[in-house]
Amino acid sequence: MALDLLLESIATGLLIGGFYAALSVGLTISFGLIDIANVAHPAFIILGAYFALALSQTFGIDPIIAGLLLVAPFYVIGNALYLFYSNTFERRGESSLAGLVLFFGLLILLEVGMATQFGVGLKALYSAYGSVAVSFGPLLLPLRFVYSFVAGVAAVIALELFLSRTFRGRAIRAVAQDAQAVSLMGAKPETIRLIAMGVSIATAGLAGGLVLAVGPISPYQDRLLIGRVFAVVVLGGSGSVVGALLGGIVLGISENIATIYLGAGWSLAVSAVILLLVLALRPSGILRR
Amino acid sequence: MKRNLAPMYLLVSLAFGAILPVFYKQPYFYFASYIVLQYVALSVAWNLLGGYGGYLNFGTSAFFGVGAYVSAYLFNSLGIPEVIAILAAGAVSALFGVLIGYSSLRLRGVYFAIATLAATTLVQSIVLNTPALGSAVGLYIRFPAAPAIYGNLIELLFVAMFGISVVSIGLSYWIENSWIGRGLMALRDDEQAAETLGVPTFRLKLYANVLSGFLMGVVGSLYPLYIGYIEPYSIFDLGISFNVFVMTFIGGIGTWQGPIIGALVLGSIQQAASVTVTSQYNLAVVAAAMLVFGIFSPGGLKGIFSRLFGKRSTGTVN
Amino acid sequence: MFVQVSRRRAVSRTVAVVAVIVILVVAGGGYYYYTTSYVPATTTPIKIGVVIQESGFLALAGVPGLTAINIWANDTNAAGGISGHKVQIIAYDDASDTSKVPALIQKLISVDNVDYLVTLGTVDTAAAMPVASQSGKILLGLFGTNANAGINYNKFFQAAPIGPDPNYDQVRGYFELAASINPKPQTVAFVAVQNDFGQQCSIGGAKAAAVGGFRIVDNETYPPTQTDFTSLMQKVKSTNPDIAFICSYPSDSVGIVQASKGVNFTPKLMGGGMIGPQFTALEAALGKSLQGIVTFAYWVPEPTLNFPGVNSFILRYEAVANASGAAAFDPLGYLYPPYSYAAMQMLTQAIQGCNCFGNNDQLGTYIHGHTFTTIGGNMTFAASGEWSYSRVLWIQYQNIAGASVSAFSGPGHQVIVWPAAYKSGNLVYPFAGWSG
Repeated sequence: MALDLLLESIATGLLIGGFYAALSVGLTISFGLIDIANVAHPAFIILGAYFALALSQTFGIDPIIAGLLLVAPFYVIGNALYLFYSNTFERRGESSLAGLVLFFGLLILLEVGMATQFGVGLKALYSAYGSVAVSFGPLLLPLRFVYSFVAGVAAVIALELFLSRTFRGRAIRAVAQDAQAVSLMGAKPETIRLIAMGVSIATAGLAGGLVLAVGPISPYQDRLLIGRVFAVVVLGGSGSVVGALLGGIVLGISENIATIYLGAGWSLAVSAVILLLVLALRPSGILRR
Repeated sequence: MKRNLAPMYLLVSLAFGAILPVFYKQPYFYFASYIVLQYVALSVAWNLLGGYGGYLNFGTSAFFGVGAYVSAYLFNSLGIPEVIAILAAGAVSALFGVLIGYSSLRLRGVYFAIATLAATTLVQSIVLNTPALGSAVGLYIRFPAAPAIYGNLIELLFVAMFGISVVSIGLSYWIENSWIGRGLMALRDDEQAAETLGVPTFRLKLYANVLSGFLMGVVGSLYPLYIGYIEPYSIFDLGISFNVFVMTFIGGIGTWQGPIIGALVLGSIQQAASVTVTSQYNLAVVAAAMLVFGIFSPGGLKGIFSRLFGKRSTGTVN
Repeated sequence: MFVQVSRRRAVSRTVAVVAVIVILVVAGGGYYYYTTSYVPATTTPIKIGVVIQESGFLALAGVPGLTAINIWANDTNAAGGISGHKVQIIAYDDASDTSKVPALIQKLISVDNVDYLVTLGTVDTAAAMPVASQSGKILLGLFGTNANAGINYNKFFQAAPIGPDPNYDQVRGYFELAASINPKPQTVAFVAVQNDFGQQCSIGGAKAAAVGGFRIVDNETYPPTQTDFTSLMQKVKSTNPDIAFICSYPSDSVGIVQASKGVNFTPKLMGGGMIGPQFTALEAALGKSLQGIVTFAYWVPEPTLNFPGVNSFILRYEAVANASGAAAFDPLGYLYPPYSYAAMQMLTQAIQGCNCFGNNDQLGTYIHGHTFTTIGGNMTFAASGEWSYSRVLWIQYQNIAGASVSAFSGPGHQVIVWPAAYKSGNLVYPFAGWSG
C-alpha cells in the first residue's frame, strides 16, 4: 500500500482521536475520578447536539461555537444530575453499581424525550466546511475533523490545567484518592463531586456541538457511542484526561490503519483487540495516575 | 431442612412447566413468556459471576450470541439434530467463557466489564465478516417439523426455556450454598483477603464464568428457533446485556432469588408496556419502572418480597 | 459495601411496594382499556395489525410508514369503509428490537384477532414470518429485501417496487445505466455498509456487475459506526475505478459524500444504492454536494410518475408531518410513505374485488392473480410476494441551487435517468466533479 495513503490515514486518525477525546474526556472525570459510571454520558452528548442545532439555526452560528455556549448550561445540568444522584444513591452509602440502574433508566428517558421533542428522523446542519479538506504538505485533511481535533485538544488541555493548577481541580483529584483527607483539608467532598459532575456534563455540551459539526444526528445515536467512549476512557487510563486524548488517538489511528490494510469492516475488531491487549498488558490503561 | 426439599421443588417446577401447555393454549402467553423466561435464565446465569463474585459481565449478548450462532449453523447449515446443536452451543459458549476468563478475569472490577464489552464487539465483528455465518445478511432458520409432544413449536420452546430456567435456578441455589458460592462471595468482599486465606480466587471466577457462559449459550441456542432469522445486530445487542444487569440488580444482586424476581417483574413490565402503551412511550414506562425500583428498593425487590411474605430477609444486599 | 437490610429502609420499601402495585394496576388498567375501548361499528370491522418501529434506530422509517397507514385508514373510513366494513388499525411499537416481534405478532393474531398483518423492514418482517405463516393471515411487508427467503410464505406481499429477484433487481438499473454509456466504463469500486441493506445491495451489485461485464477493482465494507470516510475514500480513489458503487445508510451517505468531495474522488459515475440523500434533512445539509450523484428512488415528484392520487397523498402526508410540530419527520417523505399507502390501497381493492373478507386463502390467491392500481402505479406480485416486475428508479441530482429544502422540492431536481419508460431527463456524464 502506498506510503502517502498510510501517512494520510495516520494523520486523519490523529484528528479523529481528538474528536474521540472530546466525547470521552467528561466520562473519564465522572467515571475515573468520582466513581460515577454515567452510561448516559453519550445521551447527554446527543442532547447537546440537538441544542447546538437549535442555537445554530436560530442565531446562524457555527455548531462548535454553539457547543461552547452550551458548556455553562450543561454544567448546571451536571450539578442537578449529581444532586439527584447523591440524594437517591450516594448518601445511602450505596456503591456506584446502584447508580448504573439510574443511568440506564436516564439514558432511555433521554432517548425517548429527544425522539418526541426533536423527531425520530435524522437532523443535520449545512456547514460550509462540511466537505472541505485542507492540504497539509502531501496530506488532505477533512476540515471538520481539524476543527474538532483542535476543540478536543483544547478541552483536554484546559481540563488538565484545571485539575492540576486550581484548588478545586486538585481537590477533585484528591477526592478520587481519599475523600476523608479532602474533608480534613476543609473542603466538602460532596461539593467537590458536584463540581466534577458539572464539569463532566459540561464537556458533553461541547462534544454535542462537535458531533453536529461532524455529521447528522438522531435521537438513538448515543447507542453507537457507548462502546467507543468507554473504550477510549479505559484505554487511556480511567481518570486521566490526557489519557483520554491518547486513548482516542490510539483508537482513531488503529481504526484508520485497519481500514487501509484489512478493510474498514475489520476496524472495530482491531480496536477491540487493541483494547483487550492493553488491558492484558497494562490493566489500568496507558496512563494511570 | 429447606435444602432437602430443594430437589423436590425442582421436579415439581419442571413438571408444572411441562404440563402447562396441555391445559392452557393461548399462544401469545407462550411467545411473551418465552422472552421473560429467557431473561430469567440469563439473569440467573449472569448472577453466578456478577452477583456472587462481583465481576460485572457486560458481554451477556456475546455468550448468548455465540450460542445462537453455533446452534443455528449446526442445525441449519449442517443439518445436525437440534438437541446436539444445543449442547454444542452451550459447550462452545463455555469455551468462550474459558477464553474470556483467562484473558480478562485477572482484571479488577470495571476493567473486566469493559473487556467483556470489547469481546462482544470482537465476536460481532467476526460474524459480520464471515459469509458462512451470513455476515450482515443474516441466517434464515429452517424450521423443524412440529414436534410430536405438543404439536406446536412455541409450546415446546416454552417448556424447554422453562426447564433451562428451573435448572439454572437450581444450580444457582446449589452454588450459593456451596463452597464455590462462599468462596466467590468472599472474594467479592475482599479479593486479597480471600486469596490470603487460601481461597483459589482465579479458579472460582473461572468456574463461575464458564458455567455462566454455558447457560447463556444454551439459552441463546434456542433463540434462532424462536425468531426464525438471526443477524448480528439484534443478536449481539448491547440492550440484552443492559437488561440482564438491570433485572438482576433491581431484583437483588448476589442472591439466588433476586435475578428471578427482577427478570419476572421487569420482563413482564416490558412485555405489558409494549402492548398497552402503543407508542414510543412504552420505553419510557420501562425506564420509569427501572428508576422507581432502583431508587425506592435499595437491595432489590427480593427484600420487599421477603417482607410481604413474612420471611426475614436473610441475604446481604449491595 | 455490603450492609444488612435495616429497618430504616422500611419506609422506602413501602413506597416501592406501592409503586409496584400502582404500576401493575396502571398496566392492567391500560390493558383493559385498550382491549375494550374500541367502539364496534355497525358491521364487523376490518382489523389491521401493525408491528412497526415507532422508536429506536428504524423509527425514521417506521414512523412515516405508520403515518401513511393511518392516513389510509382515515381516508377509507371517511369513504364508508371497505364494502361497508370500517377499518381499524392496531399498532404496536417493537422499538426496533427484533426479539419483541414474534410475541407482538402473536398478540395481534390470537388476542386482538386482527385480519391482516403489516410489518416494516427486512429484519422485523423476517422475524414475523414464522408466526404469521402459521396463522395463515396475509402479511404485508413494507420494504425490506428478501425477507421471505427463509419461509417462502405464499400470503406475503412486499410493498416496494423492487422486483422478483430483490437484491439483483434493487441495483441492476445502476449497472444497466452504466453499460449504456459510450464508451462503456470498465471498472467499478464497491463500498458497502455492514448491515442487511448494504450487504444485499452489494451481493446484487456483484451479480449485476458480472452480467454487465464490469470488473470490480475494489470491494470495501465498513461498519455502521464508521466515524470518518477520508481514509476509506482515499483508498478507493487509489484503485482508480471508472465508476463507484456505494451501498450506504443515511448518516454514512453524508460522510461518504463529504469525504469523497474532500479527497476529490471523481469517478465517471458517482453514486449507487445510497439511502440518505432521499431524506430532506440530509438533502438540505449536503446541498450542492449532491449535484451529479446518482441514487435509487421508488417515487419522486417527476411528471412521468404522476400516478392517480399520488400528488394529493403527498400533500396530505406533508400536512400531517408538519402538523406534528417539533416531532416533524421527513416533510418531503418520498421514500417510505407512498408505497406504505399503496400497499394498503392494494388490500382495499383486493378485499372488494375478491369479496372474501375473512378468507385469507382466497384473498391471497386473488392478490396473486390480479393487478392493482395504486398511487404507486400498477402492482402485481410474483410467487415470492415481491413485485412481479421491477420499478426501481435511478435518479440524478441536477439543478441544485443551494442548501435548503426548497432547492430539492418539486420536479427537476431528482431527474429520472433510468429506466427509459420513466425517464425525465438525460444523465449528465461523466460526473462533472464536486461543486458547492
